[in-house]
Amino acid sequence: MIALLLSLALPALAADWRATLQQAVDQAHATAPATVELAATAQVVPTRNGGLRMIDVGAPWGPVLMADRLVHGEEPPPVRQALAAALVARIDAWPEVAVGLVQEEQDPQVLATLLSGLQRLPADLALPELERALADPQAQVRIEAAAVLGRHAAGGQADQALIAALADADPQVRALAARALGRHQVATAFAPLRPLLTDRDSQVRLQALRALARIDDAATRALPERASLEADADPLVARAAAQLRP
Amino acid sequence: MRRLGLLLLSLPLVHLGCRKDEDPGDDATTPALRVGTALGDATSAAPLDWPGLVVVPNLDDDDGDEQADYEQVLAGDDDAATLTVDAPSGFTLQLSGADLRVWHEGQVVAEDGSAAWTGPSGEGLVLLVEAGAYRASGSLTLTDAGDGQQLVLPVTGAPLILNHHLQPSELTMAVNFASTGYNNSAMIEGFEAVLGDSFDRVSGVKYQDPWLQDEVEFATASGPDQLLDVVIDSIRDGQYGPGYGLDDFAEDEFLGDGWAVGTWGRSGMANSQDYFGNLEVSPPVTVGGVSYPFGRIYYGLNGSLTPNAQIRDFLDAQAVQAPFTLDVSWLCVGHVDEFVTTVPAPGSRLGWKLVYTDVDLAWEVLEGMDPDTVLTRFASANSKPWDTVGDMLADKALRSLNEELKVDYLLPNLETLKAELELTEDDIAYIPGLFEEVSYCGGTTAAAFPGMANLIVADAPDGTTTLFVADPFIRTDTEDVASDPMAAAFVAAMPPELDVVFLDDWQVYHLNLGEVHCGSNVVRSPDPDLAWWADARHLLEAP
Repeated sequence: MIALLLSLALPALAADWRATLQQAVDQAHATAPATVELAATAQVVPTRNGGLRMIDVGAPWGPVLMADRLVHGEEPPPVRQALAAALVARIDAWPEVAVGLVQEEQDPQVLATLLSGLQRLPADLALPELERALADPQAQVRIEAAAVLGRHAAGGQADQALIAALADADPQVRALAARALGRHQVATAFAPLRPLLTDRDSQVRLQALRALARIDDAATRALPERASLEADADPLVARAAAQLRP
Repeated sequence: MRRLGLLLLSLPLVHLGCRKDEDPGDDATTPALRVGTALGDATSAAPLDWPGLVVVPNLDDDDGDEQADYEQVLAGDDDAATLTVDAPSGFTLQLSGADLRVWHEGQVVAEDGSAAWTGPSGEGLVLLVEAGAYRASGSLTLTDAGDGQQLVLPVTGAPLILNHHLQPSELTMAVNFASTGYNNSAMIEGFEAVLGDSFDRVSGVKYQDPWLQDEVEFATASGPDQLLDVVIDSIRDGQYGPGYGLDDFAEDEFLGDGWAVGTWGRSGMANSQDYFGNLEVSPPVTVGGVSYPFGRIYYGLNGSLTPNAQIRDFLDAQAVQAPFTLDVSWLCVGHVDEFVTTVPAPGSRLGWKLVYTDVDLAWEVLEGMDPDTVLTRFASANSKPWDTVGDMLADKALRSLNEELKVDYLLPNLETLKAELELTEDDIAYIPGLFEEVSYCGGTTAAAFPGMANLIVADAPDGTTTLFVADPFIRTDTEDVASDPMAAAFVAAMPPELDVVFLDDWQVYHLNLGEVHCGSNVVRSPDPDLAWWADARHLLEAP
């Protein structure tokens, strides 16, 4: 029933956000033709970490023009990812566009990039998308969803999805879910986080330890696993554990 | 290779104390066989202790055929260490030790394990001893054909020593991008205005890769009368893979007479921690009573991602700069130069300061500003979410992120630096900086505004040490850096003897996750008052 309702609701939302985007694009054409021209031909340049970035064409119209190119262009995936990266910082001015783009995106790399744009959206718009992304079959999407939930002001409301993500097959997802739960001090996550202190991945152990300490410092200091972690093979884990001595 | 005749004259030979068994009253038994090295003469009765004959590896390329000279015929006498032999009755010579060989009159006469070579009788015979590797180690055994006495002379290859910020700069360089809408003209012109001819515009048309710091690291290997400049060529291999970007920069621009290029690690197997923005060197320190006159190397680890094992092992094996590590797992690019550096500080306890990013100081500066201050450069960018100072101050996620980074990474890394470099609070200059999470980078971070720790130290022609620093643009008038409180806080933290020049690195560097240091590089001269075989003897194990 829920799936049926969603399938009925999504086209209406899609039509709405596309109309909003078109309105913004029309406004850009009317008021900032130079920016429009620049956005249409903007170069893609490599970043220092090996990614691609679209040259910054400027706020406020840059994000909608990039969104328009993302929707209408038939560009290769790396360029589409660069377009997505160029719009996420300010797409919160057009929240329905941000949600629409996330809902319709099929490429996992582009989708992962677009998720960052949800960081500044209200909880009622952002959290359902992020929770859905946390169950995505692609690890890179789940990783970004867990990261964004960690920095969204209301990310703690997605506690159940984050706790479920502690059992994710991907260690980066587990680590980022642990970090998010710690940042939001989700008290109910203390027990599910504890087994991660013996996770095979050292980043998971580290983030779990820090999350536990943020949720309940005294209880974490008293855990027997904490003492064991002082001898962890990863010096960062060992140091963090030593800093939490009772 | 450069021949350093003057260096020999300035050597602190008094430090060597390496002649053993010398008995000045034993004239009646003075052996006839005598050898002469740059560090002194030796006989069987008074041999030279370690290092004996110091040899700089012959890895430059005098004939320009892109092959190290050691792989070919010895090209010149400055490619090898000179050994003179006085042997009135003649002698035989045997060499032990890998990556070493002895030349006489254009012929190899001894290699590791080769049969003894019979030398002619006479005085002042010149042998050339050549090395093919850093820290090559061996010995020469000379036997007098007359009385049968043996003289054993250690042979010690020079270690490779990386440069630090107290060494004088010879040449500073950056890749020049001049296309419309995407150029670094302001940064290039800023460098040139101060450095003049000691700045080199590297062709952006040819290389199309701005990350000059990541591709190469400059170093030297020296002996009493030899100097080899070395480019360590990263396995990064250019921005777009082998054959592209700056991949061939070291070979194209430096390999030749006096310059060697070396690579440690497998091409095509690099991770970001293999890039040389993640390989830095402190100036000289004493730690736990142990002096490191050439400073100490530090690089970052990102969990299981580290610089490759070959380069780590190689740097460890050089010994004189005892590497230590920092945690860079919280950074998207993951390089140590994103949050820490060193600057000269004449008159201070160490003669230098550690420059360290302090997020609290950044908030303090922002809180002291009018929240309505428009951040013009940020407001005109679609990639930054803040139009005003108030927007940054109101960004709770940004504030909590930076508090977390401070507690989890910046302070622990600072403790590591304090311990490994034995620093006090007075040795540290704190500068403002903030970090933001970067999209599609697994929750890791980069500088939220241009990172000022990512700076270049270079000497202007008049000798003034100048810091070239990323302009933070925390102000309204983008042309007036003097009105920028964040820039002012940086200047206030620096030693007053230094000039500070702010460079606009926004478009080509900052927005691509790097800053001024990432996009430039510096060739430096070794300190003429230091000799590793004397000043770092305690760090090198004699064979």
